[in-house]
Amino acid sequence: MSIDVETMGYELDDLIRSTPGVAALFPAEASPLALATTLVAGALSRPVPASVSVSTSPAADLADGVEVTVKARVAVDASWSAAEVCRAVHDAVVERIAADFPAATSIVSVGVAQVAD
Amino acid sequence: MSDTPYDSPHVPRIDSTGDDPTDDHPIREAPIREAPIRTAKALGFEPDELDGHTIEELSDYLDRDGQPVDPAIESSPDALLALAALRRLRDLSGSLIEADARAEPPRDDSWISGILANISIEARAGRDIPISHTSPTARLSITEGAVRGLIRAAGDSVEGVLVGRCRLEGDVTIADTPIAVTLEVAVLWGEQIPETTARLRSAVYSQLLRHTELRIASIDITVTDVQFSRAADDALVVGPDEESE
Amino acid sequence: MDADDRTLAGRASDGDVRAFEVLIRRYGPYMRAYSTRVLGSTDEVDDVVQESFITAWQQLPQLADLTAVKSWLMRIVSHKCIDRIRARRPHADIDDHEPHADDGESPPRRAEAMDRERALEAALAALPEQQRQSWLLREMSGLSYDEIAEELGVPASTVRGFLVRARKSLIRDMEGWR
Repeated sequence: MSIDVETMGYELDDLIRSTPGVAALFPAEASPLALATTLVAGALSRPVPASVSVSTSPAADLADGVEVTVKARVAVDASWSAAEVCRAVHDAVVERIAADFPAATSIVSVGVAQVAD
Repeated sequence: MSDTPYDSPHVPRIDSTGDDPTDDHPIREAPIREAPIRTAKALGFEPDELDGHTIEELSDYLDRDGQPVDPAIESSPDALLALAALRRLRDLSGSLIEADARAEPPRDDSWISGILANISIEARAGRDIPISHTSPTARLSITEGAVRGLIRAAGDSVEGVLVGRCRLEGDVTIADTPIAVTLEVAVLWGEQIPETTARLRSAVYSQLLRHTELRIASIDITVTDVQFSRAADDALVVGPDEESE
Repeated sequence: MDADDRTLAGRASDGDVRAFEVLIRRYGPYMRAYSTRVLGSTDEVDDVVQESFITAWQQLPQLADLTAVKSWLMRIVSHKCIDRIRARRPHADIDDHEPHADDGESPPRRAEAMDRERALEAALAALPEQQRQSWLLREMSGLSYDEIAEELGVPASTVRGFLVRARKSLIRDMEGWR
């Protein structure tokens, strides 16, 4: 059995999007211009809010000691706390990986790229 | 400059002597509405025709708005005429680009979106500011750009203030480093600046406290501009103020 | 509130796209007008001004004097225009010694019916390339002699020379010196 990093990426993406406090998208700041909102979202390299990349090391075989590295970038809703949401995203990802692949260790980084009103 | 005939809607004249208009030195008549200072004497661009002054010198004099006053120029009718012509040319240049810009058709949104689609806020991410976690494998952070954004949003929530440039001074990448936040702000005319900045400071501080783990040593606010609301425009004509606190 | 340039530029420099959009709406028309004058046609103008703003976004964090954002934008667009002209005519090393520089045989004598702006337009169009560039950079973009020199890749003293000649020609054309 091996870890399909692509599938895992999508699953984690869904998981992160559904974490409370993660913003629905990156809007331009308090912009009255719907135009700008769309554009800022479009200008980013990947659909928002969550951008996730997953890699495993040294190989994708699920032997003991496989390390799963997850890098996520999120926007946080301003009515929450960025630091708290960031930790919650981290914990949700770690939990999910532990549940699906008990033998793996995970290194999860979460960056808040925007706090959105 | 309102004392010369050229300030009225001006039409370049063809002299009425029948000279070939391409002639280098056509003899021209004086304008019909002669200003007292003018003579029918031919004017030139060369120093010997400008009482020793040059066009370059006169241009520089114009560029610095005639300050300090140069008595040699001010007492030379020929230099003053050339200066007036240079000034008219400059004014006309200004009005030409203004007119050009006004005549530009308003750009449709797709033209602007063509620009915005090619810029990225990721270019403004700045430094990563750590967020703590008990797990040693956790790597949590918020970008400096996101923090600036929340500072702007906090500022925008305070009435009568618009936050401009914002800096986080100190090594934000190391937890618990004392950080000085510096803000440039424009304040609406009529606001009590000390009260307004106090409200701003408290709004910014509470947002930073809520979202980040930064240790804020100070929030320094510089008022770089005083804005007039449209309603106040007509009543008050005062230059932008510079006030720091 | 009608934000001032410094505030807008500061925000845009920090990543506020909305502030940048306000700058685009505020100065885009000047940059377009200027480019149209310099390039002499409109088909490249859209691209040139768009490119200029994209460059501006990238370089804005390095702009030290935020109050100077307008002239800074004009300098960027000037630069892009000059690049275009060079690309158009790779070998035309814009010669300043064209016949009508100082000899008074410029066209708009028949400009009787034109208004002043149209007359200036015509007089401008008749200037040799580098004189025209220098003049536009000086009068429309507000660049200093040194900045113009840098843009055109010639010494500042040469720029002064261009400007003297340009002004003489334009005044002669515009005023009909007597």
